[in-house]
Amino acid sequence: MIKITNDEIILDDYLNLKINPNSGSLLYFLGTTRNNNLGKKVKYLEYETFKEMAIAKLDEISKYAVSKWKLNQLDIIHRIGRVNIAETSLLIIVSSPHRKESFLAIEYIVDELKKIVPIWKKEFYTDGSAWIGTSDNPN
Amino acid sequence: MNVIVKFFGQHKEELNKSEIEIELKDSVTLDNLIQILKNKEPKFAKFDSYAIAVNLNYENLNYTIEDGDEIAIIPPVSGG
Repeated sequence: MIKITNDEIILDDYLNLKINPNSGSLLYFLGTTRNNNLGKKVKYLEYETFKEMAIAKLDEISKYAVSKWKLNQLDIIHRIGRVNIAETSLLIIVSSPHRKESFLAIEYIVDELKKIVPIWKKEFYTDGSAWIGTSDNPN
Repeated sequence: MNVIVKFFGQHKEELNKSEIEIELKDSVTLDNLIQILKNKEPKFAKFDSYAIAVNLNYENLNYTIEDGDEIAIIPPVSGG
């Protein structure tokens, strides 16, 4: 499942998964919002997306990962809109016959997401704000 | 032909618009389009880093624009 949502990502909603009997590994990755970046105190973040393209790119990444690491399950959920500190902005769920493939797949998916998926975050500080990914504010 | 160019993130904010319609002659490349955008939107000339997507796929500057193409200027992404 691939989803981009304005709703809060609640981990509990995804914990009661039916485990694939062919899987020996089920891994959850949560990207969470940090209260500081580059020495600045972050109050909250806002994410924006070009949704149609982001879904298409996540689908490409997902198909590649499922095929390369023979995954039994892959879900990618990204939140957009305002996200407060210590909330989940990204949830990835991967299961595979052996753990190594799950770990490799998650690292690949997060790296690719940060390279090619059109989602942008803006950090809000006590004294202003900045788009991340610019030369002044690297991702 | 007319094409719509979409803007996002910092570009949308600085240009204060999410898209612009541009009239093009036939056989115009993305490189040509960028020059037109720089003339039409002086603030755009200041943007130093972006990719260009056509119909949801990244394309090079030598891509020749076709009627009906949906063009998006993609600032450096920062999801996750």
